[in-house]
Amino acid sequence: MLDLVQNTVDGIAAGAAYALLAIGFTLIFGVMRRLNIAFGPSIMVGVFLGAWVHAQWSAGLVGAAVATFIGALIASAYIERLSFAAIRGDAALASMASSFALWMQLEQGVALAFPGRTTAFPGLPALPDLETAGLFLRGDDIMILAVAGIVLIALHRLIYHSHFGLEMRALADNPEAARVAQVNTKRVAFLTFCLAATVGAVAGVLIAAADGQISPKFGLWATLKGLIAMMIGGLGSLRGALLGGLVLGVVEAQAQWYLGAAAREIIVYGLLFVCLILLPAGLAGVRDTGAARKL
Amino acid sequence: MGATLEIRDLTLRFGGVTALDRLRLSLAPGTVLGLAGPNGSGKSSLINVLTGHYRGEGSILLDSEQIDHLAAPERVRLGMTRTFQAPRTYRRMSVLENLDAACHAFRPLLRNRSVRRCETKEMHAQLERFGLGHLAHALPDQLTPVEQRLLELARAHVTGARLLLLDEPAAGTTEAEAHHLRQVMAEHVLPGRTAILIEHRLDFLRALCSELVVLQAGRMLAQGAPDDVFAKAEVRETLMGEPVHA
Amino acid sequence: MDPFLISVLSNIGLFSFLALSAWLLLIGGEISFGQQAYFAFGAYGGGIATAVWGWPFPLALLWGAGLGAGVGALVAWPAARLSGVHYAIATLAFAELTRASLNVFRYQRDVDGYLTGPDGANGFGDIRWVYETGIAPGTYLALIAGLLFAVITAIALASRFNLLAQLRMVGEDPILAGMQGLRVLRWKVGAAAAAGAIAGLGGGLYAHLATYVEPAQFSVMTGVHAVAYGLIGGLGTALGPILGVLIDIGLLESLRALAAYRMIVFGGLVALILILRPRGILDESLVAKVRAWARR
Repeated sequence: MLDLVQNTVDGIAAGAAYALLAIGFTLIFGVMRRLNIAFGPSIMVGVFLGAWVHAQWSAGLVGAAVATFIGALIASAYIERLSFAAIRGDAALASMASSFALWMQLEQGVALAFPGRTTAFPGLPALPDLETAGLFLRGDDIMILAVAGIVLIALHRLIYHSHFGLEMRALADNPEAARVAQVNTKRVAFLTFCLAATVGAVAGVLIAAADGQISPKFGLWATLKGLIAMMIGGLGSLRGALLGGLVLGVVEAQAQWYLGAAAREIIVYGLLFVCLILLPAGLAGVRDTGAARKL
Repeated sequence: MGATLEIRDLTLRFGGVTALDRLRLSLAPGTVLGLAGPNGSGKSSLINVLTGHYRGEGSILLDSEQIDHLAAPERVRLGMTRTFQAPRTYRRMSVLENLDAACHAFRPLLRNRSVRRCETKEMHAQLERFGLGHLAHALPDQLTPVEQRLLELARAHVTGARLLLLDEPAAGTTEAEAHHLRQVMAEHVLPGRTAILIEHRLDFLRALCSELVVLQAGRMLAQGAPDDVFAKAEVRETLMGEPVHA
Repeated sequence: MDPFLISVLSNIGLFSFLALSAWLLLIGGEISFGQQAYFAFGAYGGGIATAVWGWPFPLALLWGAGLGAGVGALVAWPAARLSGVHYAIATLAFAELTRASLNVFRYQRDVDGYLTGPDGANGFGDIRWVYETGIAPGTYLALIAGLLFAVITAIALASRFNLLAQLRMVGEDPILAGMQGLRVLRWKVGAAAAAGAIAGLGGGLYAHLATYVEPAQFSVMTGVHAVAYGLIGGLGTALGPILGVLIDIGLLESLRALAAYRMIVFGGLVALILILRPRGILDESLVAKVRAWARR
């Protein structure tokens, strides 16, 4: 019983990072109606830049974090320009394939620049672990939860209480109407990409710092986690991304503890598949009244 | 010969909104029923429920056969078709191919066993009839709005359907273009068929419909011969927005 | 023929099965990131059939293709109601589920004194049929080419009988297609079964050539590549995905000196092509033009 609760606590911390990744995907999908499958790799570019900066100038976590943001932003801008802005509105498939192509580029680029299976990344500041009622909350996890929480609050303010947030929501809701209402759709799209990159970079820094190291597999890993969390929670819903991330984290932690790593994978992907078939709208999605999709 | 259509207690709800509220309707063969009402009154929803894209409650009987459990393609195969408010075409196929697709879609697979009325010669003749003969090999994007609407009508015609659901076939056209569409419909599309026609243009409805239904918030406000319905004050208020003094 | 060339052409052939599989679904309007799962079913199924059960090779290939078709249809049946991103991620989920399951799948039997069969993450080796029967690499390449040609011919026949056009209609506008009486769900499941069969066939051929397969080979990257081949080579014709494979593997070979940069070059090339031709090089309008020209 205690294990169950402990795993839940551990899972929520991991899930917070997944949630940030899922939010990054959701922001882009919501505004562009296209999936950026190079999102994970773009963050990977960031964390590797951060690792490099730290290696070169002993910049520490702060320096590495700043470099991560910059790297993720540049990589995201690259993807946005080439795979999204440059491709016609109705060619959504092409955008997705193109972002995959750029993913391959980024992954190989990083692997070439950083030979070796893993590269060091500065760790999180040592916070004391918390122990209460037999439950153990690691200092690292407290840090992740705190930072993720701050980012989520800031994001909420931005999206629901700012002009830019209004433009984003308008574009997500109805691109035609937004255009008519003088929203500069191209600019909003680009800035949304940057916002997604920022949120993703936070996740990247947290994950990399918690691990103390990074590897070129990070791109695929982050993409998968973000996508799974987003789909479990409900495509296109920010609340869903948050919920999906937390659920994924908890399910993983429980499965890993009770059944081991191999079974964990099976359960996660099985859960995702079943979720998609039975609950296409996701956990937080709008509930259907039984009527089919609108024409 | 047109189909008979009967709708009993048709209800459709989206979340908290009731789009259709226990609607009852009975169409004799050959009836052209006009469907009018303000935006959001349920006109398009009715068509979507009839075709099977929305599932509501209540029963729908086509030629006395209950069809509400059937998927859209099955209903089409029983003899209904619709046009879309915003014309839909296969954009990578030519006008002729689009028409052919509508005619052939669930006919025998092998081309040389195709039904006579879907042969290429006949397709060209149909295009001529609808004034699109010279555009046979054009792509849909090259058509003007009224030409696109003519294609919608031509496609509905060649399916051979006996129940037609026409969703604002003249939307976005000029007076002259709408007049032309009216003539085409009266001459080629409507004869021998039962139809439900959604339109905002009242002269359109008056000219083509033998019966008129006005919807408001998913309920029937009035039903009857067009002139009788238009004479009602509450109808004029709903359709034209302010009380009209007789 | 130079053994190296045989090896490269064999690779191109095998990947072409996977690419064709994804392409068929693409023209039916669905993106599948999971065709590698049916490739795996074909590989494992066919491999087990010859190595563990001692079946004749043609039967094993048929079995692999059949498994691919069956599982493909089974997955598509609930998933076909979904669309776009949902369908894509559902197929990805199933493929990863397959891979994760293969990591724990152990099925070993004593065959002539050796323990043979899949051993979870350790892989499945000793698929020795090709070597035991002494078939030369050149002959096997001819077999791959022949079966690939048969698949393409089958697709061409489908096109001749208007089947492909109907699938394209379902793919382009399922609502319109439904309103013209096309049974959209049946087409989607049917296409998935055919695609699964093609991938399964390729998988069976692959397992016997490589003699060793492991779950890690059937990864998301493989699946996304399969989709990319069709999108770059062109959605207008079955030759499109094969062109895509040729470009990738051809580039790999011609840039062998720059092998380390191959993904960077290929990725950049793909991104550029897609800006100019969003439906690939051999897209529908090009194919239509070629057909019109040929009719003159």
